[in-house]
Amino acid sequence: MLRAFLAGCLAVIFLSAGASLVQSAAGPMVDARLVSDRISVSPGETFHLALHQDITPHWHTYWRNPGDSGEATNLFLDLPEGWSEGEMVWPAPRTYPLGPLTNYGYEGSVTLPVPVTVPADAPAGTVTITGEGTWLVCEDICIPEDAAFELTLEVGASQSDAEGAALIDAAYDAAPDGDRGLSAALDHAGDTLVLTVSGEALAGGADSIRNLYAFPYEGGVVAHNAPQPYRLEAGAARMDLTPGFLTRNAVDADYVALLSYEVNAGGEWVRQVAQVTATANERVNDLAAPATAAADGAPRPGGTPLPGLSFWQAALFALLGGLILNLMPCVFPILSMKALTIVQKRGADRAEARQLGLIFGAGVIITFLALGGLVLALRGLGGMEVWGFQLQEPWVVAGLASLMFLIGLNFLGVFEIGTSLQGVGGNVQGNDRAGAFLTGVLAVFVAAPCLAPVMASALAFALAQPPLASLTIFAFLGVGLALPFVIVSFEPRLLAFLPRPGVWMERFKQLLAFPMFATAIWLVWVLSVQTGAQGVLWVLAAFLAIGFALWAWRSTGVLSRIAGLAGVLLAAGALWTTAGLEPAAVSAGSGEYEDWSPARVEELREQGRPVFVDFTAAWCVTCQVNKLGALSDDQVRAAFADNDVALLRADFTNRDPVIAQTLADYGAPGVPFYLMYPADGAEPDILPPLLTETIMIRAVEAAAGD
Amino acid sequence: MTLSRRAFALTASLLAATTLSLGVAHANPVIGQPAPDFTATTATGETVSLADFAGQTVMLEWTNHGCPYVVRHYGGNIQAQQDAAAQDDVVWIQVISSAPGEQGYVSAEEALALNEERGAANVDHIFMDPEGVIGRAYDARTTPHMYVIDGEGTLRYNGGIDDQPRPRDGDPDPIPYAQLALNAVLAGEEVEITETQPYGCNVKYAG
Repeated sequence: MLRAFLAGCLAVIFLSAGASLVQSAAGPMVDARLVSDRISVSPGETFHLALHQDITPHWHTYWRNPGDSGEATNLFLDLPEGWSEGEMVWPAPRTYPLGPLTNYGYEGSVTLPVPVTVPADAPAGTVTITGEGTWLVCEDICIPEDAAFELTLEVGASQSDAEGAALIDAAYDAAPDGDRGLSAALDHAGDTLVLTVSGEALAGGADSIRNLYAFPYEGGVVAHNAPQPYRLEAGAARMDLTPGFLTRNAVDADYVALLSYEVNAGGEWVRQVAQVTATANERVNDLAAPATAAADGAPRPGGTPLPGLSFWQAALFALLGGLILNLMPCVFPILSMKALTIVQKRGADRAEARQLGLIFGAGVIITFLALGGLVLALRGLGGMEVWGFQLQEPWVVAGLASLMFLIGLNFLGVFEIGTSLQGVGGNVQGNDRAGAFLTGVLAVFVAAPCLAPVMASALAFALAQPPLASLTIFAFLGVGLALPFVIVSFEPRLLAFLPRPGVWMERFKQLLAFPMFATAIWLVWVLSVQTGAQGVLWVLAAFLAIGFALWAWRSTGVLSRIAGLAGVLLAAGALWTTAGLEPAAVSAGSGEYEDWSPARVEELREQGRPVFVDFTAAWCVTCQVNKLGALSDDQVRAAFADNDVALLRADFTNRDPVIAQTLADYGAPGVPFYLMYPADGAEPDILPPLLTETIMIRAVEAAAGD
Repeated sequence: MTLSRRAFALTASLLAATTLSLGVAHANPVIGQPAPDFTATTATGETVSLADFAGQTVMLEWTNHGCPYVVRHYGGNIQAQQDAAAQDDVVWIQVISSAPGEQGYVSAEEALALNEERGAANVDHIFMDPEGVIGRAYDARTTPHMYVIDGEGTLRYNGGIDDQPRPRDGDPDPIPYAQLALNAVLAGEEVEITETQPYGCNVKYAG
């Protein structure tokens, strides 16, 4: 009885579905059916059958190469005798980053057509085609699904099926139709896989084409999760890909890929795709390596977050990094300065102290946000985006040195800002606020070189994120840096730990002048590396003029005021001259170290030697610590010598696009950065930013293949 | 600078700690090179590292009991491979890199119970890797994803368990890449196919 009822139900379903000549079978996540672009086919013609999937929102099915995981959709057709089927047509997929993995597939709906040829001698009448589809559908989890299909067609005069034809035409439109006249080649350049593409289709160049991305038809050709930076010029493109296991050592076959890009058609960006076959070990153009990631700042289809850090983890690390910065040598003087302000406020109005603490915090955070915005803007322009870069400008270094000198003189009591402003009466508070804010701003600028090593990961994460997320990371760095002061300004009990006011305060203030002078000396040394003796001469002249101006200002009277102004002008002139100086050619090679260049690395590696590269800069404190510490250690140097390690040094004190590019290639946001190339030609090891003897000796031994 | 040595040492160690916990280095495992080292907590509460298995051949198997591909292989295929490997004193290690709340994440007890249920008697260790540290070090992408490490700690195979990337009804006569590699290593021969595209569900990493 039950069976008869079920059979009856099934019959009704089949009959109603049969009326539209389409059979559906719903899986839990994909609603799939077999569609045809013909109701009736004529003998000898080629038409199409297609598997059409309506996919539950947020789930996806897979392309022919599913990427790092997943499985391509299959359609098995059981065709009548003599009928033949061609290859499945795959519309262009999109990328699905999942943690460290990247998959290629479809969401929403997709139609996968298969061309079918009717034999010329097919007899007229009704034919039934059965088929089975299998696919994997994934969101966070994956579900294998399948469905059986049945479809009846008339053989006779050809007659289109409007709905099926529309779906199949759309699928063809989204799939590559040949190579669009593009020629392509794939070649190894060091550890990079270089895909060069040339042809009329790319004539628009970078102005009207963007988001170039290669989807190889086969897994293992490229690392699916790696970004695909490219250089695009009129009629030619070069993409730097990360090899997969098939191409890691050599390119020994011609590989086929779907090349996807967007073309500006009257203000609207339209996706185009081509199927290119890349000739092995050749190049079709000689474009240089791409500068950085997608030059237009648009999100890359293959963009993935840095492995290992979720957004909030990165924010937390940014906060922690900001806190640690308070202890760093290049922030310490500022810390002292701020501590002094708080000591001065002790016993005074607590509310005001709180307010100043908050304003200082705001200064820090706003400056971080501004710097973050600047970095993002530069990233968008494809320019320098490496952290610490503001200290690559001689005028910034000279200006900061002068500022440190000035603050030192202030601490020594050469001049008083507070007293002279006290006369302005009601403006005192306003000026204190401005002072607190500016202290915050200054703290960030001086902290920047310490920032890179601590926050390497968080920054790399920030720079790979959409603008809003990046800015949040920057803001958290600021929060971390400002937090101790804000807490002290809010919590009087912590203030109680500070000594009582007294004569010592003046002594303490004077003592603080010396960290300021030390910082100034360090900055002058940075300048000497950047500009040579000329820069040192001019910045010291600026110091002299500053000192003179301050001395002259102390006495009243027209003459001393004029002398003071003259001193200010002299100082400004000296700084202006410093700013105009050409950066000196920095020779990184010293002692055992040679100057670094990518070519030299290749050369030394061909000799079968392990190569150690020290990416450094005069303004980078951690670099100096490593240089004087682990890298100068006798055992480390002995290990270098015993294993015949070639030592190269890349000096990033001044701007250098080649070094910037190399740092960017390895995802390093700045220096210090250390690479150890093993003797056997394998990928280099990235060493941690803070080196120890043990780390170095292990790295040397690993590189030498012990 | 004027910072005292002690303050400097403190800063330096804080820096180092931050850097280490961030795990800056990211290198793919390379065939013929030392396999990435690990320190793992096993389901039975032991702490082991790669060096503990010196002299023994190791099979690493990334797993997620909810993944259809894993379910297919635990229909008997993988247990048979484990049993055969045990005859040759191979250390068979399951690694679970699913993050808490994700498919495949289990407690140590559950992990042990699962093997009991499935009759996987010859699994020597189950590595609990909810933070994905070992998974990322090995660039493990799918479940299953297999690695063969020889007695000298050298990585000899990285890839799929066989050539049948489907969740069920695989070819009855597949090319068992991982087992072929294991047998070659045991026989002291070169592994013929050292890398293949791993297939299956993505590893459900944290973040």
